[in-house]
Amino acid sequence: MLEIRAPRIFAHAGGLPPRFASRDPREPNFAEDAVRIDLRGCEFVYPPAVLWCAVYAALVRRLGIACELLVPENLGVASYLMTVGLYSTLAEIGVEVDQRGISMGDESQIVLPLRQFTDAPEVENLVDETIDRLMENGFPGSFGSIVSDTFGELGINAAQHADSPIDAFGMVQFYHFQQHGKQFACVVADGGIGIRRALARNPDIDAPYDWTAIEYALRENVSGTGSPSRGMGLFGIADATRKSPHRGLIIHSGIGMAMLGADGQADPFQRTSVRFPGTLAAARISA
Amino acid sequence: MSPIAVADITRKRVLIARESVDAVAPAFIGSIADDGGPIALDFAGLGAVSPSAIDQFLVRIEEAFAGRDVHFSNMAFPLGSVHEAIARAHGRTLIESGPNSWTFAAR
Repeated sequence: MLEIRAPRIFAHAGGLPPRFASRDPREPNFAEDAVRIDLRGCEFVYPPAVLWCAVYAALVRRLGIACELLVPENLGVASYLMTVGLYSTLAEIGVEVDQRGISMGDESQIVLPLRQFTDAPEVENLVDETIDRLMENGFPGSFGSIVSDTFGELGINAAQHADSPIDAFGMVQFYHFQQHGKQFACVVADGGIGIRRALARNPDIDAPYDWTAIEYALRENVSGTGSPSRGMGLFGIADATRKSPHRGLIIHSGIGMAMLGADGQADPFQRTSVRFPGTLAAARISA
Repeated sequence: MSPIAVADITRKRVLIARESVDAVAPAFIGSIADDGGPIALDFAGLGAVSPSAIDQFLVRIEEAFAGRDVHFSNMAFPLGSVHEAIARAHGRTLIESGPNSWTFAAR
């Protein structure tokens, strides 16, 4: 059995132990008889980590391999994962989750719980739902548009360019930090071919590594289609992030990672020791 | 000419995908007068219009009517660098022509 134990502060897949978490269920040589994702020691789980759990487990289940999620011993964290919809999403795809003694937590922070989506119309419905929730919570329309546009662009990218055999997952969450104020996290992930292979469809792009491919993908007018006016959505999100101290962006695809808006990060495009089996994009926006 | 009310044609509050624009393109293109003047689209009632959707409006308009200014009004979100990039990709200049109103001017 493959056991992947998540760290105490589970921010994203880059924090997992590479020896185990880098085994890629998309690869033909993935030959585990069972997989266990162990969150028992987690004291904090961020949305990008929630989406890694969903993507990794869905890829494993697609192979017909047994998969189990061990829930956090910290009841608050276990409750959060139930509230965000991780357990129900995993249960639908046949992942074993022992939810005994766990109850739903504060739902006001969850703008859009974890959802699986296939195509552009579904993304638009989720964006519509996001706008409704933001309006219900009193956020001005212009701000709601920024959050929903960001989620929409990330969602469309995943639905249309990822070639993901498990579709894509997304969620929007609201935080109120004492130090940083109100923040939104818009997170989308898929189990597809990754940014490097998507861009390889465009013969004008030479990106030999996942991290150079991400760097390309964040530039103006760069897409796998080669169309001169395509490739605006991700560029727009990245450019707005670079220009604002109130935004952040993480892209993790294969063994490449970009962290924009992170303090003290000299080069935002890095190699990671843990492979994301597809692509994750997480945008942080301050209200 | 009076602006074309996009929400009345799309019957949606959200335009994210290019396909959503393509689906209503015949209707809004058919509403544009062939008089060579500026083309005006009113986005009142739309809570989210992605950069991809904005780009696709320009693509479809330019296929039918080349070289005309395109005026967008009642945009629900601020103009950003991505919109300027869209204008550049279409060989246009982007002007903030009023509150929540932008003009993609043909050069």
